[in-house]
Amino acid sequence: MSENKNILIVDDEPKTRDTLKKLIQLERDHNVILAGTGNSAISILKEGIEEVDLVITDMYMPQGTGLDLITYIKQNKLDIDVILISGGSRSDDNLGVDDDHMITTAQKFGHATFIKKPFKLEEILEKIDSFFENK
Amino acid sequence: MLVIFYLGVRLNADNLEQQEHNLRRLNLELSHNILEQYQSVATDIKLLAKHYHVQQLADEILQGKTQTATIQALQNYLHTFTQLNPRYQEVRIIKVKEDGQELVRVQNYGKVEIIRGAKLQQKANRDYFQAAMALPPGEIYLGPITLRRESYFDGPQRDTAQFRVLYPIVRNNQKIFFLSINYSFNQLMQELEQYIGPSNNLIFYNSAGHYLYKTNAKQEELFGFEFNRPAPLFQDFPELKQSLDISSIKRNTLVYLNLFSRPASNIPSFGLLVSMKKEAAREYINKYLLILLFIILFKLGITYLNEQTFQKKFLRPVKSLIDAAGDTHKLYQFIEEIQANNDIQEDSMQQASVILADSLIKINESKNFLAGIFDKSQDGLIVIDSYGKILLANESAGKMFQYDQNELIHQPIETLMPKNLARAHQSYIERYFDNNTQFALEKGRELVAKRKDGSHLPIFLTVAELKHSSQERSHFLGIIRDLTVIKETEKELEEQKEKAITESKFASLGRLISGIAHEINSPLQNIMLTTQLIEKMLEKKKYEQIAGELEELGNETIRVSKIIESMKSLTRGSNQKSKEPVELQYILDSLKHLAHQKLHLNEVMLVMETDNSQGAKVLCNTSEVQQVLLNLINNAVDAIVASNNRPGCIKVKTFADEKSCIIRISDNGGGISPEVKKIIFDPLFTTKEVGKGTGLGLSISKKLMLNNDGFLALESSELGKGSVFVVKFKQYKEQG
Repeated sequence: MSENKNILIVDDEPKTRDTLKKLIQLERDHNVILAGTGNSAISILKEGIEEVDLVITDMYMPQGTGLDLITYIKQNKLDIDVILISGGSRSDDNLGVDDDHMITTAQKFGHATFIKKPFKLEEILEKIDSFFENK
Repeated sequence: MLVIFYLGVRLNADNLEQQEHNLRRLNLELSHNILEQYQSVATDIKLLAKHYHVQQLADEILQGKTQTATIQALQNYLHTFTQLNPRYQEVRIIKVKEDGQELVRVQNYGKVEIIRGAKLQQKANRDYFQAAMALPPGEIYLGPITLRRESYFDGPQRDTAQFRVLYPIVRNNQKIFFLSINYSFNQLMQELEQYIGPSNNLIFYNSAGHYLYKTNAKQEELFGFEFNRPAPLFQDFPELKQSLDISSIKRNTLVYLNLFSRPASNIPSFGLLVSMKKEAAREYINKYLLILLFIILFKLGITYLNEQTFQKKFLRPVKSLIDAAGDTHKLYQFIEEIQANNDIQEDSMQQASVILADSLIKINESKNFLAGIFDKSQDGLIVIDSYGKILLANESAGKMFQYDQNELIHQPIETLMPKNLARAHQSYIERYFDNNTQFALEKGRELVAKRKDGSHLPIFLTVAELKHSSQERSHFLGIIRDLTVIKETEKELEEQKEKAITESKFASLGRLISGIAHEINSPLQNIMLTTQLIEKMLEKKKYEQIAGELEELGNETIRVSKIIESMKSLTRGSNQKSKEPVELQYILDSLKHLAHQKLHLNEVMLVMETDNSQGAKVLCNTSEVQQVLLNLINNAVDAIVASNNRPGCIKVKTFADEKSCIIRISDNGGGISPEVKKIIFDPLFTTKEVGKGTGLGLSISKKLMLNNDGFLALESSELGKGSVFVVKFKQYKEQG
């Protein structure tokens, strides 16, 4: 078991991010920070308010998508891994966003990993652990 | 096409002589008039040569330094000169050296054109030039009458007879340049024509018998010598082969012609022929002259006619033919009368007979012509008598109804009708004669007709009455257009349209369901995580928080059930076209869920205002209505995003009155420009970028609302301020 890490959870759905925080804190001793939008997550990283080792982010959010966040991390060459949670809808032009496009772009980033909604706690814990073990 | 019939002529010999004499005098008078033209051009060109500017130019050329100002002055002068003498089509100054380089050219239609570098390229021009060079100094060259193409500013090009006069300007016994005048006969001929009156013909021809001018000539009749065509004079007047200076009688026409030589030439070079129709001669000759002159003009331009004009254009010649036949009949009677009367001269009789035969041939020709049109028409043509018996039917009519063409003749017209129409048909005709009403006539209408095998075919029928001069009851001409192909095409188009709408409906449903799947994932995720959280809490014995989590679990479940409920509204009736009463509020509540994702992601607020519509119901296909409303919301969101008017807000307001329910959807987007307003409901119109909108949205929405006994309209829209769409339904009232 690696030492305590800092995880930033970004989701526009308060219930989801709260439950996820409670679970992670219950199962692992990582420090969890919450953000409601991609933009507020970016400003947390930019201002250096908190130290962040891993980002778990939803894909579709108003005011800054998961992709925006990944792009920021890549452009600023931050040493942060990303777990991307996707809503599962593909090529959804009704929403004005394109899953395939997002995934393709995110894959170029390298360290991003995907989890599709709905997922079990074990799945995300496994991803979190594997990221920190590889460090 | 022009057909003229001349029938029956009887002349009194004494008066014929008198008439011939008049014609000879007229002809001489006119011919001298033509000769005079040569004289007047010769006089004019000599006067022109003495003009100051012309002399000055000659001096300058001799000194080898031509002044531009002199040429300009000459040009202005010649311009005025041609304006005063419109028969002079062209006046030129041509340098002797360099093979006749042009210095000045002025044309009578006002165009001032100088072609400084132009050489005498045409053979005709070189010939003039050489002929003029060969003249002794001081002599004038009077050219032959030839063809020239005249162009006008206000009309097409026209061929005209013309002659050219050249006059050399001489210095030191040496020719310096030529003055050249082109004389056009067009205007003179028209003046002569007016002089002799409209009933007489004028033919101006050359010695070979080619026409240079002819009253009402067709283009191809003129100037045959230029195009190696045979000379028409001796074809038109074969008797002239014997002698060219004679008078002649041809049918009803008196002819006089004369040949003249142009000045300075001994060879006859042109002639003038004046012909006079007997109709005009009647005014001069006394009452002993019997003339029957029938002129039938068939102006037929039937090539491709539309429904409205076809009837009129077709009927006119048919009626004329009937008239002509009646007149011929009268002529027969007349001849019988003459025969009964012995004091009529036999040769006059003969002449009348010949002409009669001639006219019959022509009538027959035109009959064949018309019959050809009748037979070959693409439309079916059927003539019936007043009792509905078929008298005539063309090929197309036969084919259309699967009969041999002749098989139809003498059949009752009712044979071609389905039973219900056949029964009433004769009473229609009787009523028509009784009331003289114009029913069914002129306008035309769509009907169903019957083929030989009993099958039905859709037709467009136009009926025209063929009135007789006599007391007999009219015949009727039916013009029938087979609409089978048109109907099939219409049906195919309709099917394609339906298919496109269905496809578009499925596509939008697919998009909606995909959005809902996403929407439902969030609560499901929460339920899953919360369940696991409760599990972990139990493991770790943190019981105090479990109650709260269980409550959350319940909330999330309710959320899922609401989303599922809204999905039901989409699937309700989507497989059938059924309508059912549904509460307006239900539609709006599910709309909130369906639109949530789109609104949420684009940060647009949705405000619902229910005015007095609580409990109001509408009878509709919920799925279709939901599609319409969602489409409007989607458009509104797109408009807000495109205009970036923030904060974005869409208001959905509902009203209900006695009869109807109204939903007004307003946004604060960019609005719609007046030009776009006109076409927003057109199929395939879209303002969205390629791939984003199908352009079917609003047109289909409008159609869907009509299906649901309602309508969709743009209430108002202001650029920069947003748009208001209105959806209106009939309110559903429960019975009892």
